[in-house]
Amino acid sequence: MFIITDQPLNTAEVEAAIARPDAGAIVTFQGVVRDNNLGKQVSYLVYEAYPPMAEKVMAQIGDEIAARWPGARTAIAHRTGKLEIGEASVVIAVSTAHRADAFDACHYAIDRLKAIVPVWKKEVWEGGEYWIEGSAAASEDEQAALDRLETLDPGSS
Amino acid sequence: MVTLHIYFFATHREAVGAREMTLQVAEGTTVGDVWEMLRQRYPKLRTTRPAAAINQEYAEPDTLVHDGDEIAFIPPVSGGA
Repeated sequence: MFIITDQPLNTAEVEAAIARPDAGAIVTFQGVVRDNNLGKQVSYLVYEAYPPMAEKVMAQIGDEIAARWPGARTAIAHRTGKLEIGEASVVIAVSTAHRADAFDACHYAIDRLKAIVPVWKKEVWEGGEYWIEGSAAASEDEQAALDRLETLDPGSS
Repeated sequence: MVTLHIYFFATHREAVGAREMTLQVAEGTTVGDVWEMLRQRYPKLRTTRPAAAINQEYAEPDTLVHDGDEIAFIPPVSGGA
């Protein structure tokens, strides 16, 4: 399951998409709307996507994960439209045979998503709004994740 | 002539005032050329060339466009949390 939707995300549905009998671990990540950013009080967020391409790129991330962690299955749902504080903007679930791979693969998935999936976030606060473009934090996270992967052997667990 | 379907998002959509448009260009045009044409027409568009996608796949600026292609210019992405 790799979907862009304007409906509230259902974590159980995303997890159900990757459940299978030989999985010993499912790790789920939820990104939720925070009430502040860079010292500013955020009222709400608006997410916009290029849905058909975003779904393809999310599926590509699932393929990358399956190549790095053989047997891993990934599902990703990203929401668009207006999101209130505390609502989930993205849900990622990964199932693997063993827990270490599931944690690593899920972390990889969110870092890759933030780097390459065509989705954009607008922050709206009292008296203003701003499209966020890119994220230095995302690229740092991604580099850290990639550095971490260098020390791992994805095939072993 | 080559007919293209072009999509804009976020800051680009607001700068152009439209989410999509149809544009005719000459044979031999690259996706980077298309961006430059749009920049001429819509000065509010960003000055640095953004990533581009052809038929929903990221494409290098020197990639030729073809009749019926779906072109999207991708502002730096900011999805996730």
